Amino acid sequence: MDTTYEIDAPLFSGPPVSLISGMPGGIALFCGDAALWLLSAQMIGWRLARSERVLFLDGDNRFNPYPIADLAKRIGRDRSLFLSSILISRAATCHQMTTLITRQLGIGIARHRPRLVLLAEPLATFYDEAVSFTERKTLLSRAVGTLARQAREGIWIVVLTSPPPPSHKSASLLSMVRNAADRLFSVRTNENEILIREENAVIAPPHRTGRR
Amino acid sequence: MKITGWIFDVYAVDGGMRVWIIDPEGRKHRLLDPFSPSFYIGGPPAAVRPLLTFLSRLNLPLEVTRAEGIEFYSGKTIPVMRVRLTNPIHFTKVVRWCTSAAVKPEGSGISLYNCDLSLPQLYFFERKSFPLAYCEVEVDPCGTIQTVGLLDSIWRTDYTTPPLTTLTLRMEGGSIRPDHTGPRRLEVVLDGRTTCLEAEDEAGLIDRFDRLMLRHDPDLILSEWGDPYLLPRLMAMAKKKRFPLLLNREPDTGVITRRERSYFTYGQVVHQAQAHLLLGRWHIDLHNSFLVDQTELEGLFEFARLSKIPVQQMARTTTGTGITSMQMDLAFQDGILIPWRKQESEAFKSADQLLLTDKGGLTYAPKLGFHEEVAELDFASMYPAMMARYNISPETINCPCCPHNLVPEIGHHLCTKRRGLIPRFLEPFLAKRAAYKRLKKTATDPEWKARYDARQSALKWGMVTTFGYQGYKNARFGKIEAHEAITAYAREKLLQAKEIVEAEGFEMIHAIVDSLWIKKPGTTEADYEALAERISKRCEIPIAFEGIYRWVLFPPSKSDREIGVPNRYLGVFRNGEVKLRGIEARRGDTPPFIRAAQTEMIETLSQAKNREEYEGLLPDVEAIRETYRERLKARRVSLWELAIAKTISKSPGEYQKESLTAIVAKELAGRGVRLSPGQSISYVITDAKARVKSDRARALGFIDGSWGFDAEKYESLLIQAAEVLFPDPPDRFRQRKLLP
Repeated sequence: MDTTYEIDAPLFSGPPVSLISGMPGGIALFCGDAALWLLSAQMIGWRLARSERVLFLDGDNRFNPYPIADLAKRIGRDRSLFLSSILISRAATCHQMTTLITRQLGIGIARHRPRLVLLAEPLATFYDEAVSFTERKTLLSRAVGTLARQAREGIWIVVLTSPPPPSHKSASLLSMVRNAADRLFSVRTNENEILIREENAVIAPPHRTGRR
Repeated sequence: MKITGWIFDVYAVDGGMRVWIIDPEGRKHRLLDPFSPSFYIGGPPAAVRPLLTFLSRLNLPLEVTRAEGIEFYSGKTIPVMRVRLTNPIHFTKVVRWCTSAAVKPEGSGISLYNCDLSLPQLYFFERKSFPLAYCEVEVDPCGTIQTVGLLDSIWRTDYTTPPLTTLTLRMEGGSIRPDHTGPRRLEVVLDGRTTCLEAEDEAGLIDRFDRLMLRHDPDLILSEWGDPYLLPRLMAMAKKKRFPLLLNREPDTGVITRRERSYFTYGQVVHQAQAHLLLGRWHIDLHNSFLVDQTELEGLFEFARLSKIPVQQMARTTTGTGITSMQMDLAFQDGILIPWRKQESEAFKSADQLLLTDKGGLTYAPKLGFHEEVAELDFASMYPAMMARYNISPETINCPCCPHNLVPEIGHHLCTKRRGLIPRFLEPFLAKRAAYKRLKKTATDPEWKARYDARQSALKWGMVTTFGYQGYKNARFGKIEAHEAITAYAREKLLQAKEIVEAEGFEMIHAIVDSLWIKKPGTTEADYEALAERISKRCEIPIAFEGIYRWVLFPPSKSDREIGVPNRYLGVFRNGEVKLRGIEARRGDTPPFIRAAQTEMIETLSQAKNREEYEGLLPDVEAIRETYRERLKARRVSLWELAIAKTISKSPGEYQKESLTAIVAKELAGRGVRLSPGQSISYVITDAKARVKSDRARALGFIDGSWGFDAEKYESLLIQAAEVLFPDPPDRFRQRKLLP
């Protein structure tokens, strides 16, 4: 399914909000270019406008408060109230990201009761080749398992990720998240529009070819 | 038998640690110290039990016992299991098995401690000794160490180092990386005598090299590009010809190699070449060591002693790894369990808190132009001093017990009950640097003066990293909230200092993070010293009066002539000392020809006492510029003088825009040179406007006589370098087209 979404479209009406709001909870994976960060601001604003809190787990220093502050202004809401309702935690290593997801996320959900949890570039921390691939895969598997459990509790877990760096190993890490996701979307900026395409097929990890 | 000397090298061998001692006569002693390293396993018994069962089934000599240790963050004593390996050569393997088990879901809850320290580090920590320590060793007739008596301390400032025999290894002519240029001969320098070895005769070369090694038995091979090129080439030649290559002193062992890597630090990509480490002998590549580059061998030795990282490894690692090792040593001595991998994530904070806390130091843009009689005040080692003064450390920030002890502005709080690891590490470190600075001032022997300077400079780099590491992802004892607290205090201190100077009628010309440039007519040096004292008292950390500039010039930004650029200036102190920041003569990518021209112009201008004299020297500066321009015009400039050195930020194929750096990176890649991000390349601008892009610049190492240089382009660089020196360049100083 292809959906186009004008960058200055009315707030909180069209995609990506409509894509998620139909889900009872679950993991939605958005993979694409810089348009991801416009979508993330829209999604955050959507829940903040309903006086909810949003958790933002940041794997690559992606959080940008300014679009959120702008959104608050556009809809006549208090900027500082909006900003105080987004709870952010940054992780810089795959070990930290795993700890954040497996230990801190549950505590954060219990305390702040968000409907929406965003994970910005969580895989960036798992692409670090200084850590052995087996270790990274094991850690990611634990993290994904926790996300799936949280999603079953009725939380919208939105994972935003850029395409992986060109290597078989990076692609297979992304596949682990894809396989756990309930809905998959690719996102692309196209002049003044954001093109969102839903992918239904769950893709298995690519087969290894050639020598390592 | 007793041997007195310096610990030269330490590494694991079957049955213990090989320890090399060099005595005052230069004799080398190869000894063995039986050593059984330990690591610890913690966590709920149900999670730990299967791992212990696994360990008990291994057919390896190891011992598992109950023990206790202090958990770093809570400060509480916790029960752990101690795993002691009888033979150190099994340590890494067993640790690897345990770490694999710990990351699995069934290993959830297992915590490993002291497991990823290197064996020499563990050995030095446990034996309370260090590389280059002067000691008395008692050995049995088989060379097995019985006792080690230290006659030295890491805090000594007047220590000496062993007499070393050095062999220098480099390619003939220039210091350009050998694979970035055509074939050249290998030069070996010993006792001041240079021997050239022909690369074409591979068997002969290896044979002669081995003979030199046997005859002179050097302690240190000091190479230029030995890591990425010379040693791999020698090893490949020896392998091809089936000759032995006598690099190691330890018999029947190979050279230890470590992978090359590129990493991002302080806003730039850095490349660390593949390392080639020897056993019983040191190999240090002058182009693959930050510490040697910045502080020479003296600084490296100082850091190795303090960090307890063997000299060869320290040469190739970052100062951050060095200071982490010092912190781990302190933790080890205090019984604190050193956690495996940094797992602590940041606590959730709201976006408005993030905006408040995630700020750096404070900067006030400079007032543009020429200023006379300006004083500079600098907070001395500001960040480390604040960490020590306010007890800023990962385990003291936002402790559960002291919510009242608030950090200014950002709302974090600091513990008043427990002294943090980082402040405890910093106190003697700061004191040692202060001692070296004092000794440098009072030393009469120029050799010792230089030695103290190199050592204090090494410590300065350690301090710089101590702050940065609080925010670094892999820092063992780092925490982002501690980093935020440090910058919050720094902003407050600079604001307090600004308030004081302005209240006393000084004009602030510029301020950046930890330095202020101020002036008030008629203020004497004694007045500034007194002012510094008042600021130090109010701010609770020392600020130093650096001196009064006769004049200081803040040039405008190249992109907007209405604004200044922080930390870009040139000035001359009353004692004639010139200080430059951010301008061509100080930048690493300025061609030597342009740097020489600007330096000469600045030397001329440094004679000026005031603005009038400065402007009066304009014709002299013009004359210097014309001399250099004439050289360009007459093409009396070598290509080496025109070389521009740039660091590539990506692999050659990843460049989209055809910048000169991209063009040359692609040229080198086309010649088979393997380039990684962070590597440096040198090129000459041949024709900046050439239609064929690849003709615009050529790699310095491969440029031949058929290529000239773009005189017009270099002339414009020369003009730019001259114009910076004049706040308002008169029209007559603008570029005139003199070249055909």
